[in-house]
Amino acid sequence: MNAESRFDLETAIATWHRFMRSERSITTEDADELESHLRDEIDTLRNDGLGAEAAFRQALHRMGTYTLLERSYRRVYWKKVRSEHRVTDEILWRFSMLKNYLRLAVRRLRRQKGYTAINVLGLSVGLACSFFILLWVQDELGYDRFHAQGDQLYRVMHNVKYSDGRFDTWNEVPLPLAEVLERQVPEITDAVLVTWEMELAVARQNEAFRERGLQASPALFEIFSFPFIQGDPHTALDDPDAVVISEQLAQKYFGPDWRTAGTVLGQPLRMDNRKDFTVAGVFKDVPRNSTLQFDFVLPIEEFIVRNPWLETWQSSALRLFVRLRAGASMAEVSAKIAPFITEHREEHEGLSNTLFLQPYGDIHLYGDFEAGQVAGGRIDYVRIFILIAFFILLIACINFMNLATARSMHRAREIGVRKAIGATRGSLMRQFLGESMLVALLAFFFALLLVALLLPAFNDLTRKSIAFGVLEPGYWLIGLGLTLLVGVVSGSYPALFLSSFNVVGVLRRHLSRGKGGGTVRRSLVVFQFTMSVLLILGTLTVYKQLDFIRNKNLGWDREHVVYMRLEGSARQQYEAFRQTLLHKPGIVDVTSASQTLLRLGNSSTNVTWEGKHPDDALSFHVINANYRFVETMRITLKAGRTFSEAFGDESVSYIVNERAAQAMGMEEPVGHPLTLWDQAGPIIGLVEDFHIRSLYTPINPVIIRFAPRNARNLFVRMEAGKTAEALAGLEAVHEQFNPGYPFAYRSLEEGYEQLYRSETVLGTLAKVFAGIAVFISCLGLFGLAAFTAEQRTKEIGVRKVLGASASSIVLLLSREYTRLVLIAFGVATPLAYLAMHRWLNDFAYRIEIPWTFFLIAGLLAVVVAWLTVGYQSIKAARTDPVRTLRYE
Amino acid sequence: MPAKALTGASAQTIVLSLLDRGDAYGYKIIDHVRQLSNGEVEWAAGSLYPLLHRMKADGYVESFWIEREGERRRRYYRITPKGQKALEKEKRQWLSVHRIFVQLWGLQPSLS
Repeated sequence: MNAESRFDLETAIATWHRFMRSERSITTEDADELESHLRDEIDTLRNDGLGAEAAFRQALHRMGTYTLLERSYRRVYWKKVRSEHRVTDEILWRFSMLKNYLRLAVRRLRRQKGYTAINVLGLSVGLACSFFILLWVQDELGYDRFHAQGDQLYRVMHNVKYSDGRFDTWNEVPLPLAEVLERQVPEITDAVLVTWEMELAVARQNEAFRERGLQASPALFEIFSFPFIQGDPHTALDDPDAVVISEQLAQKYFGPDWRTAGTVLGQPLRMDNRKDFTVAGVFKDVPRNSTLQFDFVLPIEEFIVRNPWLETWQSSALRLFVRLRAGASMAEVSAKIAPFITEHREEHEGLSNTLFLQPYGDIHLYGDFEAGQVAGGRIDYVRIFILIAFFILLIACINFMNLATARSMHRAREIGVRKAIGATRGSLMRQFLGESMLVALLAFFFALLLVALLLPAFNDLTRKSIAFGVLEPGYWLIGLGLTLLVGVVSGSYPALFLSSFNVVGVLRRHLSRGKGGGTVRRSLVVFQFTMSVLLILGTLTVYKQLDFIRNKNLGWDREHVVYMRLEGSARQQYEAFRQTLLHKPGIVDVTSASQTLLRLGNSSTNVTWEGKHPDDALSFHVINANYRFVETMRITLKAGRTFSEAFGDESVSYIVNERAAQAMGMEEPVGHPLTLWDQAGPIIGLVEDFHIRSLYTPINPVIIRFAPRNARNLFVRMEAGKTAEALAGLEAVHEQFNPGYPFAYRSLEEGYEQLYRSETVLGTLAKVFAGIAVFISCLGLFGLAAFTAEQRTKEIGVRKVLGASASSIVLLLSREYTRLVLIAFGVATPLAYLAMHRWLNDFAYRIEIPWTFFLIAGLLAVVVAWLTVGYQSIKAARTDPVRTLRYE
Repeated sequence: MPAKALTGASAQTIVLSLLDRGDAYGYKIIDHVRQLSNGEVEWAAGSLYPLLHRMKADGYVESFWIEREGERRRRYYRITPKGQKALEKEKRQWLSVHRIFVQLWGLQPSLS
């Protein structure tokens, strides 16, 4: 056949023309112009004797390559657009192009459903996780930030250093300090004393409930922003008989019409069944993210009158918040006030008391002190979770990158063709980034859906009440920004990698299939599994430590004991009350004491004993207790006896623990005299050491003092299995003795759990996040395994034909991934060990990390990886070789 | 063939000078340049047309389509008054450059 006859010049020119028109910067007119030029050129060449096809080729050659044409046209394009006033059109066109890119991407995503599902699922779970963590972090960081003068507010902190070198950091200070600070430190404009939270019976007419509140200096509402709905915040607490209540209480006690003038203000409320207070103001409910929580406030004046012992520099029992003048330096004021306690009281040689300021906004997050210095607090958890969010997102991004690069081999030819017809690297990158952004956006919406659906469960878990709707728009922008960032990050590697393909190589299939980017892909898988193993190990350790805490023998028995405030007639006729209770079924023992053993706060250095060195200034925890205290708490008596009516009036007597005996240097303390708070009395008993605070603190010396007057809490031990009857009996007796007081009790077991609330939350979250990390990693692995199996279809077929067994093929396919997971395990182990060791170090009593944990975590990772890869491998191994060999 | 940069700098002046003699279309311009340089300067269409379009956007030239008897439809370019003004300026500049070279290389004692 004649070559000439196959070549049709007109068709060639028309095709060329169409091709030219495909470039945006070449308009129809331009193409027409080029065509007429081309024709002139061809005519000239044909006149020189060239054939049609040769002339066409030569003419094209003379005009310059397409790339050259396109580039030079594009260079003048914007100038043309501007001079021809087509700017708006151009912008609209760009948008429509964007739409086009999107349409292309959507089409591709729909064509590869499984792959898209894995990507979107992994990313949305990862994003949802990060959103939850962001929500939680935002909530944590937002604590106490709503006060208008927040940057001028500080808490006065109190460091005590004992003669044995131990430190205590309190936020209680002596009462007279407030006045001295206001008078002597010009930078301090206000000093506000605040008691601890109290739960009092609040009654109006015949209705009584227990409400939570505190007593504070009148300036409380001056320096803090707790806005008033009724009344004057500046004067409300001036009258010692005034009470200020929350919106919620106003509604509860005065009905829905409480806002009507005269319904609330000036009305009496009976507090604590003690006396009537006049409502002088109603404030908006205290925000949940406030450290100070209260529904009513009474003037502190009234508290001081009832507790005259407070008016001394010797005891520290009140919280103190100060407002500094605007612009005053915290460091300078801290330095100035540091010696104030020492200056005002006779100080023991070995003891040192120093004061310092802590910014009010830091209280929530920086609550831990070590050796008198801030040593973190909840901020540590905030940091841990931000890190976890970051890792989970990274794991999800890695999935995307790995799958995209792996699948790129499928697209290699497409890319080659597009590059051959002149697609630039830039336009290819734009398209890949467009695809990954689309996936990210899709994942973003699924993530929002997930967050909306799971928010109640999350709130339940973290014991917060974050609402979905009230989030600031800024937060959503952050979320969206994060998503787009994820899109760019996950799309960037495939975009760079794929667009760099060499045209000729790809088209000739020189690129060995599936091998491209293999090392990077494998490293990323190792990274994913390292993170997963880290999280698994973290979870195991946290759980083990929590388990240790739950089952720890505290030296006393916290089970089946309830406690409540001892008040009213129950207190006045304590003995009768006690006896009545003991006759009720299920009640085993009854006692009273000043505090629970869960958070024993009272301590004193004002202790003297025989042979005490004059320089000794040691801290002893003190608990004021009644008869049967040791028995009810089931503390083990080692020597001597407990408080008992049988020995007559136990006016002043003490029981000490072993640690206290050791601190005093006594081997057998029973019978020796002891002086506490200037009251001398004999030590009548020695008990074994017991825990009096969380396991973060070591066991300290304790003195149990017989002081029924100060024992304001009632403890009731119940028989196991009969708690319901016991509680019914308790309520009945309470009703009989204290009809005006609402019945409310707490259990020690619950209280103990509450001590470790943030650890429990950490444990649960760690578990969830570890699960999610493993899930997302496996999702990626699943995709990769599917891909490998597909890539090796032919190889597997050949192997089967040659007699390989299915199991040997499964092994073949699983081997590589097992190796990767094992490497990850090797990397994660030392990291996890270091991290968990640091966390455990904060506990005075802790577990050792058992080596079996590493075994469990490693096995878990390998098994999960096998299961993931196994499905694909088995599927590949069982395929009929005849079909696989025909593949392609 | 002269270096690319040189061609680039002189191209606009050459085009303006050619159009000053009479309207022309792209292929013709390239043809003229080839002949004027004895075949040494061969412009590519891909460079010329974008240049023409830029000059048009700058207002130095205008373009129109003409279909003459027995010829195909072609887009002609015509120099504008603004283009002529620009040409005058460029001419002066090129002449002074030319004078420098002529003297430096001792080709001709003087033109004047």
